[in-house]
Amino acid sequence: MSPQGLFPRATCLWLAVACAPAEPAVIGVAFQGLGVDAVAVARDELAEWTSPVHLTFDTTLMGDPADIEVARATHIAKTPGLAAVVGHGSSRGSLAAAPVYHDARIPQIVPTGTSRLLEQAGPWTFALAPNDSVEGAFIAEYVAGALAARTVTIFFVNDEYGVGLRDGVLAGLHARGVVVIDEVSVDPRSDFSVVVEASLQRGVPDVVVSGARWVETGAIARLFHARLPGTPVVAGDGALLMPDLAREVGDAASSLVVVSFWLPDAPDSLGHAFAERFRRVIGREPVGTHAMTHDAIMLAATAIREVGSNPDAVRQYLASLGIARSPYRGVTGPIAFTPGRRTNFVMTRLAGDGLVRVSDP
Amino acid sequence: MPVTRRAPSIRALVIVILVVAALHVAAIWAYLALGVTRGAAALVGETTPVLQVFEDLHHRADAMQGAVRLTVAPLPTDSAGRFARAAETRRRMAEVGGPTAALPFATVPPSMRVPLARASDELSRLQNILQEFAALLELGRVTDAARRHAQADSLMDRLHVYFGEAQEAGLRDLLSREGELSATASRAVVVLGWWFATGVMLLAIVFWLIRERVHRPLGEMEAGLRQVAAGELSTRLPVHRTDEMGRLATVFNQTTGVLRERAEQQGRYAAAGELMAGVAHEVNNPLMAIASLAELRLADPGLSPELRDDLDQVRAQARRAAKLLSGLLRFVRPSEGERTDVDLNGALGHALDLLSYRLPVEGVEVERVLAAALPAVRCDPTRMEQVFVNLVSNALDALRAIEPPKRLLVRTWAAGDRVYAAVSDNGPGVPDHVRERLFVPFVSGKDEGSGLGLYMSRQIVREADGELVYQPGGDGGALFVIRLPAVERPVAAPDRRPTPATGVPRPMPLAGLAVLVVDDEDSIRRVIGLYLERRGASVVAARDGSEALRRLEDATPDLILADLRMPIMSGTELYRALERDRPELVGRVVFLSGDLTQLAELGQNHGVPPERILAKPIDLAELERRILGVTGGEGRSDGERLATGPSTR
Repeated sequence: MSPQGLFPRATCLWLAVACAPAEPAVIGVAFQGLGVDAVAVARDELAEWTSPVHLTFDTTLMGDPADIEVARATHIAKTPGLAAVVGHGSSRGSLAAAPVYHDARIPQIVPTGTSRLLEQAGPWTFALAPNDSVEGAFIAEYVAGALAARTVTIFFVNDEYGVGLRDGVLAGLHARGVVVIDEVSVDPRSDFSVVVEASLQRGVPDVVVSGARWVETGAIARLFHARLPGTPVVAGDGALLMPDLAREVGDAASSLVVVSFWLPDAPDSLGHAFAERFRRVIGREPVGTHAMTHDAIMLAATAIREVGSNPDAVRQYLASLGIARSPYRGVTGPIAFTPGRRTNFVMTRLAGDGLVRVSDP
Repeated sequence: MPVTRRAPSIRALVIVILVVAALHVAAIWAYLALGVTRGAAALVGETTPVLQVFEDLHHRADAMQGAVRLTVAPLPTDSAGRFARAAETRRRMAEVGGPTAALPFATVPPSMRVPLARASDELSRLQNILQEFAALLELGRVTDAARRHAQADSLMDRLHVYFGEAQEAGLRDLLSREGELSATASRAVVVLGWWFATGVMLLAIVFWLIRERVHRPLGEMEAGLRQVAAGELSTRLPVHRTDEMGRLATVFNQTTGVLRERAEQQGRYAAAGELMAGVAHEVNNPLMAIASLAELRLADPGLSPELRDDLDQVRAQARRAAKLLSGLLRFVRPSEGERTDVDLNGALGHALDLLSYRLPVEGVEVERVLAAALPAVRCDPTRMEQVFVNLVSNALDALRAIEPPKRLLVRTWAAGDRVYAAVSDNGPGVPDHVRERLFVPFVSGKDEGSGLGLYMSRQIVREADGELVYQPGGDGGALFVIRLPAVERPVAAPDRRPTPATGVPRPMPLAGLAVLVVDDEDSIRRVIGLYLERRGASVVAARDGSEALRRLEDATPDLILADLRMPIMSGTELYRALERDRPELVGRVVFLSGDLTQLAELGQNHGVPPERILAKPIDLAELERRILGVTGGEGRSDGERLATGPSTR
């Protein structure tokens, strides 16, 4: 080819590449069933954007073994055009998936995982929720303050979420002089009547704290309601899967309070708009997990819109929030991945299939 | 003509060599640091957690096995035993630790993550079962507790499987890394070999470049300089390239060209000087004859006034011409380089005398402000006179460019321990563009100047520990000031003894003195003989040295007045013959010659004292005075009278 012909052809090729429509950036979402609703709402909101952001969703199941989460993360990381991942559902799942995303150099935003180990998972992992020590301190403050408990029994799932929350609560209670009678690990297959009965033999607590999920928390609340009516059961955010928790706890709902990251009665405009959109799209009330997942998805989409679909640029954008950039304004409040960031815990109780803010124990 | 190739500069070449060398070193460093060291460090860094996990898994498996055994052993039925077994079970579980520690996902290879995750899940479940086992024991439900054994045992087996899978995966990963490290080491050997070979090749190229671009041209330059130092000014260097060495060679060739041109010019000057010396000798003799004859005639009291005036004019003009000639000869005579005490006034006067012929022609008024009793300076008098000639000559050249009045001012003065001499004029001064390079060789403000005058003048003054500086003159002209250190001893006062007035009868101071006059010029012999005889001496004449020797066989004179340049036997040959055959007469020889060059050699080569060396032309009265000085002021009454030979007249 003559040099005279090479230049125009190269110019045409460059123009063809430069003018080709940009491939939509992909955000992978790996979350439990609640995430489906959040993704639907996010899609509805993103449809109003001009920036092409595509969401791909992979449902996780509560209690999925870590190896399943690893395999799931490996599959998601191979998605073409993947710019960021929101997930996975639990602390254990998120921790198991984190090295996969780290190796693939894909930023991972964990919406609801609270394990403090997430903070050590590497520069590609960003935990949206406060860690378990912060949540544990919140619960301990409520138990020792509002409930004025002097003795406590802790039930927890024997994974990163439950162990982390247990440790956080223990630290908070010890600091306030509350005696912890017993620490019992459970899982959905546990013989709850046995472990509760044995625990009661070791001591009767003023308050029960549950660092477990909705199945374990419901069973424990029901058993304590039957044996010691009126004994308050305070559960961490991991139990908050509605309406499953309400169905599982049954009549014991009156003695159960649960930590939530957000409530739809939030007075700010963003929260109000999200709740309105959620009701319109899904047809029922959103809960804190919806809001957290929605914030994580929209944060990833905003990062892509701001800095492009390059995963490293997205990571740098996330790391710069609260430092070089203003915190992201999310439904659950300002979001920045800096130490000592603000937390928005709300203590709630069940009201039908929904939650209401606890104003008085 | 050899072709000069365009080539990058040596500076650029050196920079390129340094950059290439730096890149070569950096390349191997980067390879070792990034390709080998980092890989090895990563291997070590990733191996350590794998080994830690192995150790942790062993520990956990053992502890968990111990806890599970508690479910197998016969269960106590009594309350204390049951509670003790429950407590022991919990203790063993505490030893196992929580499931979190079994999830070092971020630090282990990906292949270990899945079995470790499964092991972690099973561990959680197993701990919960053991906890239920303990709880059932505490509740007294021993049978139910025993049933937990099967579940725990099954979970333990699965746990072992997962631990084993994790260990196997870790082992495979370690072996794979070891293989990678081994391959990396092999690659490093090959890369280092190539690196070394490349280095040797680069080194050879560098050596070749240095040889071609630096070493060889420097060698040629050195050889060329040696040839120039040996006087071979036609030396030329080949200009291979356009780089620095090529430019140096070009400058060298230009320099030798200039030097050769100057040398040719200097050679012509030297030849002219030699020619002038010869001509001067031939002119001095008639001048002396003219002046002396006039002087002899003037001694005749019977001369008419008109004739006396004419003879006065003849004598004065002959003396003037002789003085000018004498100055020229002194000026062109090669300097002996001997530093003596010099009167700057005298040197300045001689220079002005030498150039005096230009003054009336060019309408220049000379003002002399010369300090009386000026301290002497230590220098070569001839060369210092040359300095003044240069300065005055430059001033006269500058004054050509202006309209009258043209003024030349020469001054001398002393201040402190310094003696100063200044030459200034009211000419146009030195142009600004020349001023800064005024004393640089080959720089001239004149169209036809050699550019060496002021340079040499400054060198001469500096050799005398002085300095020559230029200052713009107060009236726009040029002012050159010479500063020299004064010597403590003042210059000997000139001999102010009055010359005997001509035409006045005088006593016979040379009475009784026998003089042998040896000169090939009849007129010289005649006038000297006449004068000396009139002054009382007895004179015998000889035409050359050999005749003089014959005369000496007959009688021994008190004084031998000998010319130098003579046919048959010169004055110098006569002197040598006397040294050899009549040494007692050597001290009576006085040389009188117009060849100043040969006169100077007498002192150097034969040790003849200066008072016995007389330069033509000379006043007869001065001749008489010098003869008296040599002979002690008296005629030799005891000397053997010379037999009067053939008439000198």
